[in-house]
Amino acid sequence: MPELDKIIHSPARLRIMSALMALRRDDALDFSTLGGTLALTDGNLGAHLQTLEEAGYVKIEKSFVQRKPRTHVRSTARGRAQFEAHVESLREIIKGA
Amino acid sequence: MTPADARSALGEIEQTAAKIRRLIAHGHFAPLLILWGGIWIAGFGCQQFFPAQAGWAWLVLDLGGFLGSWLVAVRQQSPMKKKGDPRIGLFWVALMVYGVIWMGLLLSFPDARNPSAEFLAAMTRRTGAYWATVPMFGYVVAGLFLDRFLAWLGLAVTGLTLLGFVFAGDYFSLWVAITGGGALILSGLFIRKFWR
Repeated sequence: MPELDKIIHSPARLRIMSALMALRRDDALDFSTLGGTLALTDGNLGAHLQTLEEAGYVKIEKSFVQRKPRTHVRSTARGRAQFEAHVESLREIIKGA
Repeated sequence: MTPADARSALGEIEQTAAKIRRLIAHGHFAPLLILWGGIWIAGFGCQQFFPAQAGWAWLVLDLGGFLGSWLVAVRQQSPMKKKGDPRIGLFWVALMVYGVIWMGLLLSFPDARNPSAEFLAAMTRRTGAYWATVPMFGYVVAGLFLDRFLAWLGLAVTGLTLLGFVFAGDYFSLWVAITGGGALILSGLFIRKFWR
């Protein structure tokens, strides 16, 4: 059985990583847009992002845009590599059926 | 994990990625397509019915279009934070190369010294076709980078323009106003309604 990434395997975190992987490398997505698109509450999204950040899969950046605080999230090189490996494992599971 | 679970997870990944790509495209393109579609209809419509005033009309419309595009860009706070994108440079280079080659093919007038009425009519049509198709090549290049929908839209409007160039005769400007401008507006409305 191919090994799946335990951190990405959770449905919410899988969707978060999928969303960030849809961006170009080094591009980041606004926190509230990410939550709105994935239908996750701020608290829920924040908790999952913390798990992903602790694993080194995402980077959270806080800044001020027109004097308002904004949070952006981007995937790291490690996160992208782990996600691609996870997707490959999913494909192998399907192939092995 | 069962193969059915794996298939479902892959489906979820695809759906989420598509949703994000469309969300980004929705914010950027829908208002611009509608704005420039309106400008095309007004500009080419003026060229058809008031040809003597068309030069000034295009100047005013284009200035309004660039101002409107700037306002759209300023008002819409992007959900993304982007690093410098080298593709933007590539986009402009491709557009300029295409513009120069296309100009050589479409806008070379060997008998320009003695302009007849037919010649002037042909020149107006060729110039119209040129300015209608060059921005559409920009859509094709941008579509290759961003979303295939834009590339298909660019190809479709270019095809419609060339079709009108060959077959629409004196009604070429009206043809471009309706097909090109209409296609841009409908695409903008389509993106606004369905790409959420």
